[in-house]
Amino acid sequence: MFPFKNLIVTSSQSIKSLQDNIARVIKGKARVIEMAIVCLLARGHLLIEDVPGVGKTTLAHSLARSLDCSFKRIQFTSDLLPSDIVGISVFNRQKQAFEFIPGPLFANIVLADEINRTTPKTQSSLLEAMSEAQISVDNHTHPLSQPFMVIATQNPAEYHGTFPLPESQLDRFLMRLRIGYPTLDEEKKVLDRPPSLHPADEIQPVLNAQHIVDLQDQAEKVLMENSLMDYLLAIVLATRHNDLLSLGVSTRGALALCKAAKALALVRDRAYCLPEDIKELAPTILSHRVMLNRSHGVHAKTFEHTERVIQDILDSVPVPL
Amino acid sequence: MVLDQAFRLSSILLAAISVASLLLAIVLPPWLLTLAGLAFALALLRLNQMSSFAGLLLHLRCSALTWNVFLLLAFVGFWIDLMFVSQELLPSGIHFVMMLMVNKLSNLDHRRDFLHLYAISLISLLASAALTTQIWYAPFFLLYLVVGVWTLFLYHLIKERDEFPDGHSTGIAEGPSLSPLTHIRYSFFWTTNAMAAGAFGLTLLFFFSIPRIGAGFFQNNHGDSLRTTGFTEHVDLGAIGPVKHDPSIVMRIALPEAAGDESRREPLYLRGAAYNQYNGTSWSNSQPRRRMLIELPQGTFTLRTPGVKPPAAPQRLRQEILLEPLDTAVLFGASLPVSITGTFLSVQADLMGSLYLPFPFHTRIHYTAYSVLTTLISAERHPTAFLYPDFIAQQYLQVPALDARIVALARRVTQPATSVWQTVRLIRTHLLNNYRYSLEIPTRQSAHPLEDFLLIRKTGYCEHYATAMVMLLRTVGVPARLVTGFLATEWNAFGNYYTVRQRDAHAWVEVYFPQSGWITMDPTPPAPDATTQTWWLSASSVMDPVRLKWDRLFVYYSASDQFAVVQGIRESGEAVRARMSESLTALLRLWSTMLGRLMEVLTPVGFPQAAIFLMLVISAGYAVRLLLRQPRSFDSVQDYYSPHQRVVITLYSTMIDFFAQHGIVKPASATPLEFLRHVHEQWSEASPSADALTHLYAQVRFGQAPLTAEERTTAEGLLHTIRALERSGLTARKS
Repeated sequence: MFPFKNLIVTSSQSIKSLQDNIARVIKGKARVIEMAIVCLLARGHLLIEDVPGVGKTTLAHSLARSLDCSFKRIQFTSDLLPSDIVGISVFNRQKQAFEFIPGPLFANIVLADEINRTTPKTQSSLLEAMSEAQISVDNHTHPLSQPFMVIATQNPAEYHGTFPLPESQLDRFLMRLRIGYPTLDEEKKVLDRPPSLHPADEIQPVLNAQHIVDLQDQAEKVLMENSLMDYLLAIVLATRHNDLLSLGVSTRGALALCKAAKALALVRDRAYCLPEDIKELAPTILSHRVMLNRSHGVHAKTFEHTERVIQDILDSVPVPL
Repeated sequence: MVLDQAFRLSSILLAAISVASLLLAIVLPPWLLTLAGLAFALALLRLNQMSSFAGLLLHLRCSALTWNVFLLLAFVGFWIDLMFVSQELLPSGIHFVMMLMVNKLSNLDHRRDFLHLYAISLISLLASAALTTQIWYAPFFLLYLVVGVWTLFLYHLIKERDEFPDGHSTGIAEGPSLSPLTHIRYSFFWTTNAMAAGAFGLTLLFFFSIPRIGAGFFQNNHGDSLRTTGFTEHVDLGAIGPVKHDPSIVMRIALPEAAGDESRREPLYLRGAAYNQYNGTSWSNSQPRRRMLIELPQGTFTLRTPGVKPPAAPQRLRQEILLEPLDTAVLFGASLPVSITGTFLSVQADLMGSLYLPFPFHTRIHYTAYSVLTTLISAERHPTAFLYPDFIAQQYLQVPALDARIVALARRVTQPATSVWQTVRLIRTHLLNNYRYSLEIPTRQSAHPLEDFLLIRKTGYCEHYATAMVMLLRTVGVPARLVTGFLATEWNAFGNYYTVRQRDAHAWVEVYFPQSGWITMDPTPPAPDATTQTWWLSASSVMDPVRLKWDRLFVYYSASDQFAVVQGIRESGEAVRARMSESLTALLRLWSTMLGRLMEVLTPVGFPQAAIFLMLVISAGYAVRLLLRQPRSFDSVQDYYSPHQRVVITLYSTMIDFFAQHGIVKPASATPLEFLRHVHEQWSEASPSADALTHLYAQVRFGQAPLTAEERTTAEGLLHTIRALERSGLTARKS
């Protein structure tokens, strides 16, 4: 009946091993790990927003390490230039021609650390890479190798000397995650670790790039029933007609939610989506795509506030029976 | 759902019965049979929604557009059929009805589709009824009735369920029933069958009793025919008298060839039996031997009465007679009847031209009588001496021992006569003028009734007059005989027929003339008081034809009547067809001229352009149709659920309802798994079953996995388990 059901069983094993692998580094953050994998399988990019020192970089690092593919880290600073990340054409004297030196963006997993520290010019140079998975330099278009995933981190506590990401760029991130502090037990486990080496270095890759591409293809084939699409669109529509929000979710946002829900279904070993998948992912995927109405006052905790609004919307939209 | 299946099955059965009855009434073309058989087979296969085969069939369904085109083609085919192929309304209509049925059988989705199917099956049942008079129709009809009652019961149950989906709101004390079929057991079928039989019996009762109540059937004893003692082989004087007060109807006579002719409404003598022998107190027939009449084709019996020559100017009178049951076997007809047409096995006649059936009849009979009206030839009015044949002289001149005063009276009255005709007229005039008509005659038997009448009382009624005339004639040597029968005087202008009642019983005289034959003479003066014309009588004269029609069309509805109806339908169909083909031809002519003109315009343009133009027109029409269709597709949101999905949704809703009844309400925005957690927190005993059921639901509902029969029984079992918890565990939880 379902020709790729068997495949899903094996894919569920590989996903499980990936999850376990990362969990060996990131203690007690199963949900965050799951979300990161969902993001990977939905061909999306991840924005991790949290205070420093809770493991943002470690998460990205361990994810990249678990996959047998290239990993580059870019530390974004205020004086970073676009050519520093996409690459630069250099004149080769021997060949008497310009030669393109690829920048750090030419990798499977790119960690853009503290993305809001750099100037909008540099931030926007990420745009084409993130949406089209290709880079155009000097009239040449260079495709990026698949899978391609940008994991960006930003620090919400410190606004001094930062350039908040423009809406267009925020929309290109599939989801915005918070990691949060670990519980006491989990933190204790972190402390217990032998300090000799970096935790991310002790794990071995479990999947290669081709596995990931296959899993991404499978995620696309996950069935979303007609009434679930209606449910999803009802949620999206509700954000557009909410008094508390000045900007609703775009069509790209709806598409992102759909893709992510399918990926989550695959991660949870299902060939079809459930209303759960949509409802659970909606705050993570939609909260950074909406803008709060300024007249209601902006608080420092914008993140929590938007998630609350999305949660209220979810509680008002009926689930199809 | 089992209820759904039972309902669908009985609906299909209903349609099948009507088609089967049709098949036995008419020969259907093989392709139509194949199509209908295929439709039935598919409908039956779809019955089991759970089988994987049904799932396969689900994908085989044609779109609504295809069916519309199919119906359109069927309609066009119907006209072609009517005009050119079968050329009759009934067969082509039946073909069309079959096509409609095929369409409906293949599209049984909504409740109204079922209603349409019932209507179509009723039409085909009626069509087969119109086409046949055979007895095998009866079992089909009864079966249809029984299945029809089942189906309608089930239909109402389904409707009830759909309109009040939650069982508890309809006030069922035991909580929502798992399957609405729980109260449908064998007793249900027996009850419905008994109801069908009861309804049928009651209908029969009404059908047969109501007309008979009107006809007064239940006031008398059954089988008791009207008393008409005048028509035996023995007529006692004084037999007719008591009968003359009885207004009940004996027969009705229509004169089809003289309808509307006012002159026909003069009194009509309906001859019954004749008598030739008088013994002083009663009349009898000296020659009771009867002979069988020769049967001609079409049930006509002719009579050649011995001693009657063919009349010089034969004036044939045709009478349609409807005779009520009498206690005599005599058949009546205007004098003198010569032939009878009717559905009789045999007809007998005696020597005096009286007609008899072999035995008295106990039902109303209908026959046609042809009579020759005899009139006196003018030559015989002149004074000549008649020479009577021997057998006439032997039989019709018999006189019993009479009082000498009667002989003297006869001679005195006929003294001035110079001819036989004058003799007859003198005697008649004497009786008319000197005697008084009265029915007030003591009923006790007189030893000498004739002497009493002629010499002493001088008061009597028709029998006395007639007897007296015959005796007086015979005394002076003129052959004569007594005839009994009815004198029809009451003309019903509404129904155009004579109404003859018991009180019209009469006796009169026939006098023999050698050349003219037997001439009817009536010596009785008209009854002094004709019945007064009251509103009641006029009302009854209006009602009588109506009642006759009712009896005719409903009580005595026969095969030939059915044929007549079918014939009428066919003829009218023929007329419609002729008219339609006429107008169609005219329309075609118009079209062809228009097309010709169009081609003239188009020819310079060239053929490819014309073809492109035609295609554009067609595609424009199609586009318009699609545009018109667009909004309609939103109406049927429910349609995208497969049967499997519908089943699990129903099961899951039942579970939700059940939990809601016990205080665990699912918010509209809660997802299935969230609700499951909620259930687990609130009522952990129910959690495992609810968990399994929810997962099955999710799998079929959102995963679009087919629901196998085992999974379905599992799901129903789980629901049972949850409901069982209600009885055991929940009370503890509540307390």
